[in-house]
Amino acid sequence: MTEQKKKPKNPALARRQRQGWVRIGVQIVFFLTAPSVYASAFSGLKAIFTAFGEGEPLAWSAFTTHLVLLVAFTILFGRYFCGWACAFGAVGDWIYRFSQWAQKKTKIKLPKLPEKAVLVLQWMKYVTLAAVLALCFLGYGGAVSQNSPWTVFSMLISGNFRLAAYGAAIVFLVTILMGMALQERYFCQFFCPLGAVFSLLPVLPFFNLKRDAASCPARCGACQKNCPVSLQLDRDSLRQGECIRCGRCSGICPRNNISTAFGLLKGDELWPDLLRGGVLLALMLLL
Amino acid sequence: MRQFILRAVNLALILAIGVCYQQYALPRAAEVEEYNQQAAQAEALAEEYAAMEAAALNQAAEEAESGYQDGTYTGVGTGFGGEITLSVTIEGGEITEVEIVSAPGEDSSYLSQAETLLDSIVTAQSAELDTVSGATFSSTGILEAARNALEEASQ
Repeated sequence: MTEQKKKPKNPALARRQRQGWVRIGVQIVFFLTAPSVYASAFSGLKAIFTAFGEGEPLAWSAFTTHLVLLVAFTILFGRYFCGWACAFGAVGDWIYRFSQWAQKKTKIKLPKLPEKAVLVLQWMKYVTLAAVLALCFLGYGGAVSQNSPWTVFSMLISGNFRLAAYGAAIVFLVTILMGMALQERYFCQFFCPLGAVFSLLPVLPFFNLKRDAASCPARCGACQKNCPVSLQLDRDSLRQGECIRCGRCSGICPRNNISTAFGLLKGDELWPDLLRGGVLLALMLLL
Repeated sequence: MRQFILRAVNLALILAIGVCYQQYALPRAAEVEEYNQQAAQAEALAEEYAAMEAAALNQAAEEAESGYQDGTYTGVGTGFGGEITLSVTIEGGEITEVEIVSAPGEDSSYLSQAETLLDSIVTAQSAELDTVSGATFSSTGILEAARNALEEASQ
């Protein structure tokens, strides 16, 4: 009986959904094995600017290893780390997914940010980055950690609940978590200082997602509408750095106009994503 | 393509600045280190001289003993995600080794940053040290554990 009620399965939709679930699976693996890599890599950058400010020589540390690893990985593969491996980004994705599901169930629609606001807010992360690095340079690195939502987040996930001294940081974190329910990749797009670093990197063209816009239907824009960071793929602009390699655009395109690896891949295949994840995880655990 | 070149040039510039900075900062740090060593030597000489003077005055100057009993002591401190247990070895009244026994709640990259304190405690013969920046929690835990162990050693 129930079989008849089911809608005929759309293979493209099934493929997209499977890719979505695989991404969540990869995120969970990284969340369990390497939940603090984003913070540790950013600590590496903060340490460099703190050393600049103090006139001390730069010293290699475990933080620097993570920073260099992620920068090199991003130059090679794009912001795969952001889309698939970052614990904070993953939590954002899960909250957003849950919020979408809850909105559907309860039929209460949360307001959506207009695209113009999104594009303006995306600049804010560069402000965050500049401000944090300037504070480190001036010797206020400790104050940054004291008020950082990341500090509270990593304390919570490691089961440390002595949060009394972190009032401001808790307020920031709660605000961010609420934003994550409202807008996909809220923190990553708008405020993440590490994301700002990654989106300024020269990403090698091998694994960039490319769009053959000439053969797109007029006024389709499905890729941009489904993009978590509202990206138009073929512009040679600063915003190309926003792409977090979720591969959703490739799956949604009705004409298969999106490709990567010089046309060899569509961009939403599972094995390249799993391979990259495996390499990244191995590097993180070994280094 | 234009974007890629611009970004690559910027990254190269930043790396070049880092290298230049290092060229300037390393010799400077070496000089500071040398100065500190000389200052420490001078201080040691002055102390030795004062001790000789005291001995000459027949006051049988009792050596400034550390007051630690020989042995191996363990201490516990609260780190990032739980307790850190250290073992501190005292030989001849001096701290000779500090080791982490267990630190189950610490993140490895942060703990390895804070581990530089283990040697610092031996060098300074004290746990009254500054925390390692970036790894404040793990550092605080290590220092607290060392203090507790030393307290036990001085009883």
